[in-house]
Amino acid sequence: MDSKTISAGRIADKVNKGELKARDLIEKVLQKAQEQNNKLNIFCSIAGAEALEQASAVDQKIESGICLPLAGVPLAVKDDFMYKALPTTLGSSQFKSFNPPYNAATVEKLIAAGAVVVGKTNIDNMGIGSATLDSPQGPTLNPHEPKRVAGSAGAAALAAGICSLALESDSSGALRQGASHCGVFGLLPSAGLVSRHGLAIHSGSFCRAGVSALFPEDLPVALNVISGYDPRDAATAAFREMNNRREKTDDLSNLVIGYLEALPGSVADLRRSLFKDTLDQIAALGVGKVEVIFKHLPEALRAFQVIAAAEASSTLLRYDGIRYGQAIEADDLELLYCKTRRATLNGEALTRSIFGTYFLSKGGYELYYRQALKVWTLVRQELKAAFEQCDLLLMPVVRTEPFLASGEPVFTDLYENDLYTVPASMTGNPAVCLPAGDLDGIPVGVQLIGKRLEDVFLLSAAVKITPVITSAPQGLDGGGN
Amino acid sequence: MADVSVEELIRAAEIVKIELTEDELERLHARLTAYKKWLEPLLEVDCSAYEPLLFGHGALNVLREDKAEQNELQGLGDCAANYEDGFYVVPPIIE
Repeated sequence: MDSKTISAGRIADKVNKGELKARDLIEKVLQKAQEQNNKLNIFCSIAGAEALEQASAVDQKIESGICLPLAGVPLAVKDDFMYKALPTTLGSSQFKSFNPPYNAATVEKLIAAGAVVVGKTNIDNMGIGSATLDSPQGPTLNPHEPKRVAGSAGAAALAAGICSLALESDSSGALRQGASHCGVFGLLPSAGLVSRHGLAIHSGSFCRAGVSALFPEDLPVALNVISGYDPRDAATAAFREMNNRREKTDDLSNLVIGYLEALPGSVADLRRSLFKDTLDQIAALGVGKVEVIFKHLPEALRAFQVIAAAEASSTLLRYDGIRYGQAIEADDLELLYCKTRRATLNGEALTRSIFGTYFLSKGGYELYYRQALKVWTLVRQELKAAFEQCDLLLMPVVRTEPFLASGEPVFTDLYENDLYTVPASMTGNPAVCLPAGDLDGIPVGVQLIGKRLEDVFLLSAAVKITPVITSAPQGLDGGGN
Repeated sequence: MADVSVEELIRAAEIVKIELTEDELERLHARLTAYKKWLEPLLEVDCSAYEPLLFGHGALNVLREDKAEQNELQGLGDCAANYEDGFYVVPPIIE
Protein backbone atom coordinates (compact mmCIF):
# COMPACT_ATOMS: atom_id res chain seq x y z
CA MET A 1 0.00 0.00 0.00
CA ASP A 2 1.27 3.44 -0.91
CA SER A 3 0.50 6.42 1.27
CA LYS A 4 -0.24 8.63 -1.74
CA THR A 5 -3.05 6.48 -3.06
CA ILE A 6 -5.19 6.80 0.03
CA SER A 7 -5.94 9.66 2.37
CA ALA A 8 -4.68 9.97 5.94
CA GLY A 9 -8.25 9.36 7.05
CA ARG A 10 -8.42 6.06 5.14
CA ILE A 11 -5.04 4.94 6.48
CA ALA A 12 -6.22 5.63 10.04
CA ASP A 13 -9.49 3.81 9.33
CA LYS A 14 -7.70 0.71 8.07
CA VAL A 15 -5.21 0.69 10.94
CA ASN A 16 -7.98 1.21 13.49
CA LYS A 17 -9.93 -1.70 12.00
CA GLY A 18 -6.88 -3.94 12.05
CA GLU A 19 -6.86 -4.25 8.24
CA LEU A 20 -3.40 -2.66 8.05
CA LYS A 21 -0.47 -2.75 10.45
CA ALA A 22 1.12 0.65 11.01
CA ARG A 23 4.56 -0.96 11.21
CA ASP A 24 4.17 -2.64 7.81
CA LEU A 25 3.14 0.63 6.22
CA ILE A 26 5.93 2.64 7.84
CA GLU A 27 8.59 0.13 6.78
CA LYS A 28 7.61 0.72 3.16
CA VAL A 29 7.32 4.47 3.67
CA LEU A 30 10.84 4.70 5.12
CA GLN A 31 12.25 2.84 2.15
CA LYS A 32 10.45 5.17 -0.24
CA ALA A 33 11.60 8.20 1.75
CA GLN A 34 15.23 7.16 1.22
CA GLU A 35 14.70 6.59 -2.51
CA GLN A 36 12.89 9.88 -3.12
CA ASN A 37 15.25 11.81 -0.90
CA ASN A 38 18.16 10.85 -3.12
CA LYS A 39 16.33 12.40 -6.07
CA LEU A 40 14.55 15.38 -4.51
CA ASN A 41 16.51 16.41 -1.37
CA ILE A 42 13.37 16.50 0.78
CA PHE A 43 14.63 15.53 4.23
CA CYS A 44 17.33 16.76 6.60
CA SER A 45 17.02 13.50 8.48
CA ILE A 46 14.93 10.37 8.03
CA ALA A 47 13.74 8.39 11.01
CA GLY A 48 14.66 4.72 11.26
CA ALA A 49 14.19 2.74 14.45
CA GLU A 50 12.30 5.66 16.05
CA ALA A 51 9.58 5.56 13.39
CA LEU A 52 9.26 1.79 13.59
CA GLU A 53 8.96 1.98 17.38
CA GLN A 54 6.25 4.62 17.05
CA ALA A 55 4.41 2.49 14.51
CA SER A 56 4.63 -0.58 16.76
CA ALA A 57 3.30 1.48 19.67
CA VAL A 58 0.34 2.51 17.50
CA ASP A 59 -0.34 -1.15 16.60
CA GLN A 60 -0.24 -2.10 20.28
CA LYS A 61 -2.74 0.61 21.19
CA ILE A 62 -5.09 -0.51 18.45
CA GLU A 63 -4.82 -4.11 19.65
CA SER A 64 -5.74 -2.95 23.15
CA GLY A 65 -8.91 -1.36 21.82
CA ILE A 66 -7.82 2.28 21.56
CA CYS A 67 -8.94 4.16 18.43
CA LEU A 68 -6.65 6.93 17.14
CA PRO A 69 -7.67 9.66 14.65
CA LEU A 70 -4.32 9.50 12.77
CA ALA A 71 -3.39 5.88 13.44
CA GLY A 72 -0.30 4.97 11.41
CA VAL A 73 -0.38 8.11 9.25
CA PRO A 74 3.11 8.91 7.84
CA LEU A 75 4.01 12.44 8.90
CA ALA A 76 6.69 14.84 7.64
CA VAL A 77 7.82 17.47 10.15
CA LYS A 78 9.50 20.69 9.07
CA ASP A 79 12.90 21.15 10.62
CA ASP A 80 11.94 24.17 12.73
CA PHE A 81 9.73 22.06 15.01
CA MET A 82 11.43 20.45 18.01
CA TYR A 83 11.44 16.67 17.88
CA LYS A 84 13.52 14.76 20.40
CA ALA A 85 14.27 11.72 18.26
CA LEU A 86 15.95 13.56 15.38
CA PRO A 87 18.22 16.61 15.06
CA THR A 88 16.54 20.00 14.60
CA THR A 89 18.97 21.86 12.36
CA LEU A 90 17.02 25.08 11.62
CA GLY A 91 18.77 25.03 8.28
CA SER A 92 22.12 25.86 9.84
CA SER A 93 25.28 23.80 9.98
CA GLN A 94 25.78 25.11 13.52
CA PHE A 95 22.75 23.04 14.60
CA LYS A 96 23.46 19.87 12.62
CA SER A 97 23.82 17.77 15.78
CA PHE A 98 21.27 19.54 17.97
CA ASN A 99 18.74 17.12 19.44
CA PRO A 100 16.09 19.10 21.34
CA PRO A 101 15.26 18.07 24.90
CA TYR A 102 11.51 18.20 24.24
CA ASN A 103 8.90 17.84 21.48
CA ALA A 104 6.97 20.77 20.03
CA ALA A 105 3.35 20.89 21.22
CA THR A 106 2.10 20.10 17.71
CA VAL A 107 4.50 17.17 17.29
CA GLU A 108 3.44 15.80 20.67
CA LYS A 109 -0.25 16.02 19.73
CA LEU A 110 0.20 14.43 16.30
CA ILE A 111 2.18 11.52 17.76
CA ALA A 112 -0.43 11.06 20.49
CA ALA A 113 -3.08 10.92 17.74
CA GLY A 114 -1.20 8.02 16.09
CA ALA A 115 0.83 9.80 13.41
CA VAL A 116 4.35 8.48 12.81
CA VAL A 117 7.20 10.91 12.14
CA VAL A 118 9.00 9.78 8.98
CA GLY A 119 11.57 12.58 8.90
CA LYS A 120 12.44 16.24 9.31
CA THR A 121 12.01 18.23 6.12
CA ASN A 122 14.45 20.64 4.52
CA ILE A 123 14.29 24.28 5.51
CA ASP A 124 15.79 27.66 4.66
CA ASN A 125 18.32 28.99 7.14
CA MET A 126 16.39 29.82 10.34
CA GLY A 127 13.15 29.08 8.49
CA ILE A 128 13.31 32.38 6.61
CA GLY A 129 12.37 31.87 2.98
CA SER A 130 9.84 30.13 0.78
CA ALA A 131 12.05 28.22 -1.63
CA THR A 132 14.71 26.34 0.46
CA LEU A 133 17.33 28.15 -1.63
CA ASP A 134 19.00 29.23 1.64
CA SER A 135 19.32 25.68 2.99
CA PRO A 136 22.85 24.39 3.67
CA GLN A 137 21.97 21.13 1.90
CA GLY A 138 20.56 22.91 -1.15
CA PRO A 139 16.99 23.31 -2.35
CA THR A 140 14.27 20.68 -2.33
CA LEU A 141 13.30 19.86 -5.91
CA ASN A 142 9.76 19.89 -7.19
CA PRO A 143 8.45 16.33 -7.75
CA HIS A 144 6.55 17.58 -10.82
CA GLU A 145 9.51 19.44 -12.35
CA PRO A 146 12.84 18.70 -10.66
CA LYS A 147 14.56 21.64 -12.36
CA ARG A 148 12.48 23.88 -10.13
CA VAL A 149 12.09 24.17 -6.37
CA ALA A 150 9.22 22.63 -4.45
CA GLY A 151 8.80 25.71 -2.27
CA SER A 152 8.15 23.63 0.79
CA ALA A 153 9.83 20.28 1.43
CA GLY A 154 6.76 19.11 3.36
CA ALA A 155 4.61 19.60 0.26
CA ALA A 156 7.24 17.71 -1.76
CA ALA A 157 7.07 14.81 0.73
CA LEU A 158 3.33 14.63 0.03
CA ALA A 159 3.53 15.04 -3.74
CA ALA A 160 6.31 12.43 -3.96
CA GLY A 161 3.98 9.94 -2.29
CA ILE A 162 6.01 9.49 0.88
CA CYS A 163 3.81 11.02 3.57
CA SER A 164 0.11 11.74 3.97
CA LEU A 165 0.45 14.71 6.29
CA ALA A 166 3.07 17.41 6.72
CA LEU A 167 3.52 19.68 9.72
CA GLU A 168 4.78 23.02 8.46
CA SER A 169 5.35 26.61 9.44
CA ASP A 170 4.32 29.71 7.53
CA SER A 171 5.18 33.38 8.02
CA SER A 172 5.20 34.98 4.58
CA GLY A 173 3.59 32.03 2.77
CA ALA A 174 6.00 29.08 2.55
CA LEU A 175 3.35 26.51 3.44
CA ARG A 176 0.81 27.84 0.93
CA GLN A 177 3.33 28.47 -1.84
CA GLY A 178 4.76 24.99 -1.47
CA ALA A 179 1.25 23.51 -1.58
CA SER A 180 0.54 25.50 -4.75
CA HIS A 181 3.78 24.43 -6.47
CA CYS A 182 3.35 20.76 -5.53
CA GLY A 183 -0.40 20.39 -6.07
CA VAL A 184 -1.38 19.59 -2.49
CA PHE A 185 -3.69 21.16 0.10
CA GLY A 186 -2.16 23.50 2.66
CA LEU A 187 -3.84 25.04 5.69
CA LEU A 188 -2.60 28.10 7.55
CA PRO A 189 -4.86 28.10 10.63
CA SER A 190 -6.05 31.28 12.33
CA ALA A 191 -3.43 32.93 14.53
CA GLY A 192 -3.74 31.66 18.07
CA LEU A 193 -5.46 28.42 17.17
CA VAL A 194 -2.37 26.21 17.20
CA SER A 195 0.36 26.32 19.83
CA ARG A 196 3.81 27.45 18.72
CA HIS A 197 5.51 25.95 21.76
CA GLY A 198 8.57 24.21 20.36
CA LEU A 199 8.42 25.95 16.99
CA ALA A 200 11.58 28.02 16.41
CA ILE A 201 9.93 31.20 15.23
CA HIS A 202 11.77 34.16 13.74
CA SER A 203 8.81 36.54 13.82
CA GLY A 204 6.44 36.53 16.77
CA SER A 205 3.77 38.39 14.82
CA PHE A 206 3.73 36.28 11.68
CA CYS A 207 5.03 32.73 12.23
CA ARG A 208 2.32 30.11 12.57
CA ALA A 209 2.10 26.32 12.52
CA GLY A 210 -0.05 24.64 9.88
CA VAL A 211 -0.58 21.38 8.04
CA SER A 212 -0.57 20.14 4.45
CA ALA A 213 -2.23 17.03 3.05
CA LEU A 214 -2.89 15.26 -0.24
CA PHE A 215 -6.63 15.24 0.42
CA PRO A 216 -8.72 18.17 1.69
CA GLU A 217 -10.74 15.93 4.02
CA ASP A 218 -7.60 15.33 6.07
CA LEU A 219 -7.11 18.98 6.96
CA PRO A 220 -10.06 19.31 9.41
CA VAL A 221 -8.97 16.09 11.14
CA ALA A 222 -5.40 17.33 11.51
CA LEU A 223 -6.55 20.78 12.64
CA ASN A 224 -8.73 19.19 15.28
CA VAL A 225 -5.68 17.32 16.58
CA ILE A 226 -3.19 20.21 16.69
CA SER A 227 -5.45 23.12 17.73
CA GLY A 228 -6.31 24.05 21.28
CA TYR A 229 -5.34 26.21 24.23
CA ASP A 230 -1.78 25.74 25.44
CA PRO A 231 -0.63 27.65 28.54
CA ARG A 232 2.92 27.60 27.09
CA ASP A 233 1.77 29.85 24.21
CA ALA A 234 -0.37 32.72 25.48
CA ALA A 235 -1.54 33.51 21.94
CA THR A 236 -3.64 30.31 22.01
CA ALA A 237 -6.04 32.06 24.38
CA ALA A 238 -7.74 32.96 21.08
CA PHE A 239 -8.86 29.33 20.85
CA ARG A 240 -11.46 30.02 23.53
CA GLU A 241 -13.13 32.55 21.21
CA MET A 242 -13.91 29.85 18.66
CA ASN A 243 -17.04 28.66 20.45
CA ASN A 244 -19.29 31.34 18.98
CA ARG A 245 -17.94 31.12 15.44
CA ARG A 246 -19.57 29.59 12.40
CA GLU A 247 -18.89 25.93 11.98
CA LYS A 248 -19.43 23.61 9.04
CA THR A 249 -21.43 24.65 6.03
CA ASP A 250 -23.29 22.11 3.92
CA ASP A 251 -25.04 24.65 1.74
CA LEU A 252 -22.90 26.71 -0.61
CA SER A 253 -25.82 28.63 -2.09
CA ASN A 254 -25.67 31.23 0.69
CA LEU A 255 -21.94 31.59 0.36
CA VAL A 256 -20.45 34.78 -1.08
CA ILE A 257 -16.86 34.80 -2.30
CA GLY A 258 -14.92 38.03 -2.69
CA TYR A 259 -12.26 38.39 -5.37
CA LEU A 260 -9.91 40.98 -6.84
CA GLU A 261 -10.85 41.94 -10.39
CA ALA A 262 -7.48 43.50 -11.15
CA LEU A 263 -4.62 41.34 -9.90
CA PRO A 264 -1.64 43.58 -9.07
CA GLY A 265 1.98 42.47 -9.33
CA SER A 266 2.52 41.40 -12.95
CA VAL A 267 0.79 38.03 -12.81
CA ALA A 268 1.30 36.10 -16.05
CA ASP A 269 -1.71 36.00 -18.40
CA LEU A 270 -2.10 32.22 -18.17
CA ARG A 271 -2.19 32.44 -14.39
CA ARG A 272 -4.79 35.19 -14.55
CA SER A 273 -6.90 33.02 -16.84
CA LEU A 274 -6.59 30.02 -14.57
CA PHE A 275 -7.62 32.14 -11.58
CA LYS A 276 -10.67 33.54 -13.44
CA ASP A 277 -11.65 30.05 -14.61
CA THR A 278 -11.46 28.79 -11.03
CA LEU A 279 -13.67 31.64 -9.87
CA ASP A 280 -16.21 30.83 -12.58
CA GLN A 281 -16.17 27.12 -11.66
CA ILE A 282 -16.89 27.99 -8.04
CA ALA A 283 -19.64 30.43 -9.04
CA ALA A 284 -21.26 27.66 -11.10
CA LEU A 285 -21.97 25.88 -7.81
CA GLY A 286 -24.43 28.67 -6.98
CA VAL A 287 -21.92 30.57 -4.89
CA GLY A 288 -22.29 34.34 -5.00
CA LYS A 289 -19.28 36.43 -6.01
CA VAL A 290 -18.49 40.04 -5.31
CA GLU A 291 -15.53 42.17 -6.30
CA VAL A 292 -13.62 43.52 -3.35
CA ILE A 293 -11.00 46.24 -3.17
CA PHE A 294 -7.61 45.71 -1.61
CA LYS A 295 -6.05 48.99 -2.55
CA HIS A 296 -2.83 48.72 -0.57
CA LEU A 297 -1.75 45.17 -1.38
CA PRO A 298 1.74 46.19 -2.68
CA GLU A 299 2.29 48.42 0.33
CA ALA A 300 1.16 45.61 2.64
CA LEU A 301 3.95 43.47 1.23
CA ARG A 302 6.52 46.17 1.96
CA ALA A 303 5.21 46.78 5.48
CA PHE A 304 5.42 43.04 6.11
CA GLN A 305 9.05 42.92 5.02
CA VAL A 306 10.05 45.80 7.32
CA ILE A 307 8.25 44.39 10.38
CA ALA A 308 9.43 40.83 9.71
CA ALA A 309 13.05 42.02 9.39
CA ALA A 310 12.79 44.04 12.60
CA GLU A 311 11.37 41.08 14.50
CA ALA A 312 13.94 38.64 13.05
CA SER A 313 16.81 40.95 14.06
CA SER A 314 15.66 40.67 17.65
CA THR A 315 14.50 37.04 17.72
CA LEU A 316 17.59 35.58 16.07
CA LEU A 317 19.88 37.18 18.66
CA ARG A 318 19.40 34.11 20.84
CA TYR A 319 21.51 31.99 18.48
CA ASP A 320 24.78 33.21 19.94
CA GLY A 321 26.60 29.96 20.71
CA ILE A 322 26.05 30.39 24.44
CA ARG A 323 22.29 29.99 24.80
CA TYR A 324 21.69 28.15 21.52
CA GLY A 325 23.92 26.76 18.81
CA GLN A 326 27.46 25.51 18.58
CA ALA A 327 29.93 28.22 19.61
CA ILE A 328 32.92 29.13 17.46
CA GLU A 329 35.89 29.43 19.77
CA ALA A 330 37.33 32.91 20.14
CA ASP A 331 39.64 34.84 22.44
CA ASP A 332 36.90 36.94 23.99
CA LEU A 333 33.14 36.80 24.43
CA GLU A 334 32.30 39.58 21.95
CA LEU A 335 34.28 37.87 19.22
CA LEU A 336 32.71 34.52 20.10
CA TYR A 337 29.25 36.05 19.57
CA CYS A 338 30.24 37.69 16.29
CA LYS A 339 31.91 34.62 14.80
CA THR A 340 29.19 32.23 15.95
CA ARG A 341 26.34 34.36 14.67
CA ARG A 342 28.08 34.83 11.33
CA ALA A 343 28.54 31.06 11.04
CA THR A 344 24.93 30.40 12.09
CA LEU A 345 23.10 32.90 9.90
CA ASN A 346 23.24 33.17 6.13
CA GLY A 347 21.20 34.34 3.18
CA GLU A 348 17.95 36.08 4.04
CA ALA A 349 18.33 35.43 7.79
CA LEU A 350 21.63 37.32 7.81
CA THR A 351 20.21 40.14 5.70
CA ARG A 352 17.10 40.52 7.84
CA SER A 353 19.15 40.56 11.03
CA ILE A 354 21.19 43.52 9.83
CA PHE A 355 18.48 45.42 7.93
CA GLY A 356 16.00 44.82 10.76
CA THR A 357 18.46 46.37 13.18
CA TYR A 358 18.77 49.33 10.83
CA PHE A 359 14.96 49.71 10.71
CA LEU A 360 14.89 49.79 14.51
CA SER A 361 17.75 52.29 14.79
CA LYS A 362 17.69 56.08 14.76
CA GLY A 363 16.78 57.17 11.26
CA GLY A 364 15.17 53.90 10.25
CA TYR A 365 12.63 53.67 13.05
CA GLU A 366 10.40 56.65 12.26
CA LEU A 367 10.84 56.45 8.53
CA TYR A 368 10.30 52.72 7.99
CA TYR A 369 9.30 50.76 11.07
CA ARG A 370 6.66 53.12 12.47
CA GLN A 371 5.23 53.71 9.00
CA ALA A 372 5.05 49.94 8.46
CA LEU A 373 3.12 49.53 11.73
CA LYS A 374 0.60 52.14 10.54
CA VAL A 375 0.20 50.43 7.19
CA TRP A 376 -0.39 47.21 9.14
CA THR A 377 -3.40 48.94 10.74
CA LEU A 378 -4.58 49.99 7.28
CA VAL A 379 -4.22 46.43 5.93
CA ARG A 380 -6.34 45.05 8.75
CA GLN A 381 -9.02 47.63 8.05
CA GLU A 382 -9.05 46.87 4.31
CA LEU A 383 -9.41 43.15 4.92
CA LYS A 384 -12.13 43.74 7.50
CA ALA A 385 -14.02 45.91 4.99
CA ALA A 386 -13.69 43.18 2.36
CA PHE A 387 -15.12 40.60 4.73
CA GLU A 388 -18.16 42.79 5.36
CA GLN A 389 -19.21 41.96 1.78
CA CYS A 390 -18.28 38.28 1.63
CA ASP A 391 -17.73 35.06 3.59
CA LEU A 392 -14.48 33.99 1.95
CA LEU A 393 -11.84 35.65 -0.21
CA LEU A 394 -10.39 33.92 -3.26
CA MET A 395 -6.85 34.92 -4.20
CA PRO A 396 -3.95 33.54 -6.20
CA VAL A 397 -1.13 32.04 -4.14
CA VAL A 398 1.92 32.97 -6.20
CA ARG A 399 2.57 35.22 -9.19
CA THR A 400 4.97 32.99 -11.05
CA GLU A 401 6.19 29.44 -11.53
CA PRO A 402 8.56 28.02 -8.86
CA PHE A 403 12.09 29.38 -8.98
CA LEU A 404 14.78 27.42 -10.82
CA ALA A 405 16.65 25.23 -8.35
CA SER A 406 19.95 26.35 -9.86
CA GLY A 407 18.96 30.00 -9.92
CA GLU A 408 19.75 32.93 -7.67
CA PRO A 409 16.63 35.09 -7.92
CA VAL A 410 17.03 38.78 -7.13
CA PHE A 411 15.54 39.75 -3.78
CA THR A 412 12.67 41.74 -5.30
CA ASP A 413 11.45 38.61 -7.12
CA LEU A 414 11.64 36.62 -3.89
CA TYR A 415 9.73 39.28 -1.98
CA GLU A 416 7.15 39.99 -4.69
CA ASN A 417 6.29 36.31 -4.77
CA ASP A 418 4.77 36.77 -1.30
CA LEU A 419 2.37 39.46 -2.56
CA TYR A 420 -0.77 37.34 -2.23
CA THR A 421 0.21 35.37 0.85
CA VAL A 422 1.21 38.14 3.26
CA PRO A 423 -2.28 39.64 3.81
CA ALA A 424 -3.50 36.58 5.73
CA SER A 425 -0.14 36.45 7.52
CA MET A 426 -0.59 40.05 8.68
CA THR A 427 -4.19 39.79 9.80
CA GLY A 428 -4.22 36.41 11.49
CA ASN A 429 -6.90 35.05 9.15
CA PRO A 430 -6.95 31.38 8.17
CA ALA A 431 -6.13 30.46 4.57
CA VAL A 432 -6.21 27.23 2.66
CA CYS A 433 -4.43 26.51 -0.62
CA LEU A 434 -6.31 24.30 -3.09
CA PRO A 435 -4.86 22.78 -6.28
CA ALA A 436 -6.64 24.43 -9.22
CA GLY A 437 -4.87 23.04 -12.29
CA ASP A 438 -1.45 23.17 -13.85
CA LEU A 439 0.63 25.22 -16.27
CA ASP A 440 3.28 23.35 -18.28
CA GLY A 441 2.87 20.37 -15.96
CA ILE A 442 3.54 22.34 -12.77
CA PRO A 443 0.56 22.60 -10.40
CA VAL A 444 -1.02 25.95 -9.64
CA GLY A 445 -3.09 26.58 -6.54
CA VAL A 446 -5.54 29.20 -5.35
CA GLN A 447 -6.14 30.23 -1.79
CA LEU A 448 -9.35 30.72 0.09
CA ILE A 449 -9.05 33.11 3.02
CA GLY A 450 -11.60 32.86 5.80
CA LYS A 451 -12.72 35.11 8.62
CA ARG A 452 -10.58 34.85 11.71
CA LEU A 453 -11.29 31.76 13.83
CA GLU A 454 -13.77 30.48 11.26
CA ASP A 455 -11.36 27.74 10.20
CA VAL A 456 -13.96 24.97 10.39
CA PHE A 457 -16.30 26.94 8.13
CA LEU A 458 -13.46 27.67 5.70
CA LEU A 459 -12.39 24.04 5.49
CA SER A 460 -15.90 22.70 5.02
CA ALA A 461 -16.41 25.11 2.12
CA ALA A 462 -12.98 24.15 0.70
CA VAL A 463 -13.85 20.45 0.81
CA LYS A 464 -17.07 21.11 -1.13
CA ILE A 465 -15.42 23.39 -3.67
CA THR A 466 -12.43 21.13 -4.36
CA PRO A 467 -14.16 18.60 -6.66
CA VAL A 468 -15.15 21.30 -9.17
CA ILE A 469 -11.75 22.93 -9.42
CA THR A 470 -9.48 19.87 -9.36
CA SER A 471 -10.34 16.37 -10.43
CA ALA A 472 -7.75 14.42 -8.45
CA PRO A 473 -4.95 14.92 -5.94
CA GLN A 474 -1.86 16.24 -7.69
CA GLY A 475 0.54 13.68 -6.26
CA LEU A 476 2.74 12.09 -8.88
CA ASP A 477 0.44 9.17 -9.50
CA GLY A 478 -2.83 10.81 -8.45
CA GLY A 479 -5.33 8.24 -7.33
CA GLY A 480 -8.56 8.35 -5.39
CA ASN A 481 -9.17 8.17 -1.68
CA MET B 1 15.45 60.18 1.36
CA ALA B 2 19.10 60.00 2.45
CA ASP B 3 21.12 57.03 1.31
CA VAL B 4 22.30 54.72 4.03
CA SER B 5 26.02 54.99 4.65
CA VAL B 6 28.42 52.07 5.00
CA GLU B 7 29.10 53.32 8.54
CA GLU B 8 25.41 52.93 9.42
CA LEU B 9 25.49 49.39 8.10
CA ILE B 10 28.65 48.60 10.11
CA ARG B 11 26.94 50.02 13.18
CA ALA B 12 23.87 47.78 12.61
CA ALA B 13 26.12 44.72 12.21
CA GLU B 14 27.92 45.62 15.45
CA ILE B 15 24.64 45.96 17.36
CA VAL B 16 23.42 42.60 16.11
CA LYS B 17 26.91 41.11 16.66
CA ILE B 18 27.64 39.73 13.22
CA GLU B 19 31.13 39.72 11.78
CA LEU B 20 31.15 40.81 8.13
CA THR B 21 33.93 40.80 5.55
CA GLU B 22 34.57 43.79 3.31
CA ASP B 23 32.94 41.96 0.40
CA GLU B 24 29.84 41.18 2.42
CA LEU B 25 29.59 44.78 3.57
CA GLU B 26 29.80 46.00 0.01
CA ARG B 27 27.18 43.52 -1.16
CA LEU B 28 24.82 44.34 1.71
CA HIS B 29 25.23 48.06 1.15
CA ALA B 30 24.22 47.68 -2.50
CA ARG B 31 21.33 45.48 -1.45
CA LEU B 32 20.07 47.91 1.20
CA THR B 33 20.23 50.78 -1.27
CA ALA B 34 18.10 48.80 -3.74
CA TYR B 35 15.85 47.64 -0.91
CA LYS B 36 15.15 51.21 0.16
CA LYS B 37 14.20 52.05 -3.41
CA TRP B 38 11.81 49.08 -3.43
CA LEU B 39 10.29 50.33 -0.15
CA GLU B 40 9.47 53.79 -1.49
CA PRO B 41 5.76 53.05 -2.12
CA LEU B 42 5.42 52.23 1.58
CA LEU B 43 6.54 55.73 2.49
CA GLU B 44 4.07 57.33 0.11
CA VAL B 45 0.99 55.98 1.92
CA ASP B 46 -0.86 58.69 3.83
CA CYS B 47 -1.07 57.16 7.29
CA SER B 48 -1.97 60.34 9.18
CA ALA B 49 -5.29 58.79 10.22
CA TYR B 50 -3.82 55.51 11.45
CA GLU B 51 -2.17 54.48 14.67
CA PRO B 52 0.70 51.97 14.61
CA LEU B 53 -0.42 48.40 15.17
CA LEU B 54 1.63 46.69 17.83
CA PHE B 55 -0.02 43.29 17.90
CA GLY B 56 -1.86 42.03 14.88
CA HIS B 57 -4.30 39.58 16.29
CA GLY B 58 -6.28 41.58 18.81
CA ALA B 59 -5.91 39.03 21.62
CA LEU B 60 -5.68 40.21 25.20
CA ASN B 61 -2.79 39.23 27.41
CA VAL B 62 -3.42 36.05 29.34
CA LEU B 63 -1.49 34.99 32.40
CA ARG B 64 -1.21 31.41 33.51
CA GLU B 65 -2.03 30.36 37.03
CA ASP B 66 0.84 31.24 39.36
CA LYS B 67 1.88 27.86 40.68
CA ALA B 68 5.20 26.07 40.99
CA GLU B 69 5.87 23.39 38.42
CA GLN B 70 8.74 21.28 37.15
CA ASN B 71 10.71 23.20 34.55
CA GLU B 72 12.99 22.05 31.76
CA LEU B 73 15.95 24.26 32.65
CA GLN B 74 18.44 21.43 33.03
CA GLY B 75 17.44 19.93 29.70
CA LEU B 76 17.65 23.29 27.97
CA GLY B 77 20.94 24.11 29.67
CA ASP B 78 22.39 20.83 28.46
CA CYS B 79 21.95 22.15 24.90
CA ALA B 80 24.66 24.72 25.63
CA ALA B 81 28.32 24.05 25.05
CA ASN B 82 29.12 24.54 28.73
CA TYR B 83 26.46 24.65 31.44
CA GLU B 84 27.23 24.15 35.11
CA ASP B 85 25.05 24.45 38.22
CA GLY B 86 22.38 26.43 36.40
CA PHE B 87 24.83 28.86 34.77
CA TYR B 88 26.10 29.23 31.21
CA VAL B 89 29.89 29.19 31.26
CA VAL B 90 31.38 31.80 28.93
CA PRO B 91 34.94 32.90 28.12
CA PRO B 92 36.37 35.40 30.64
CA ILE B 93 35.73 39.06 29.84
CA ILE B 94 38.35 40.42 32.30
CA GLU B 95 42.00 39.46 32.05
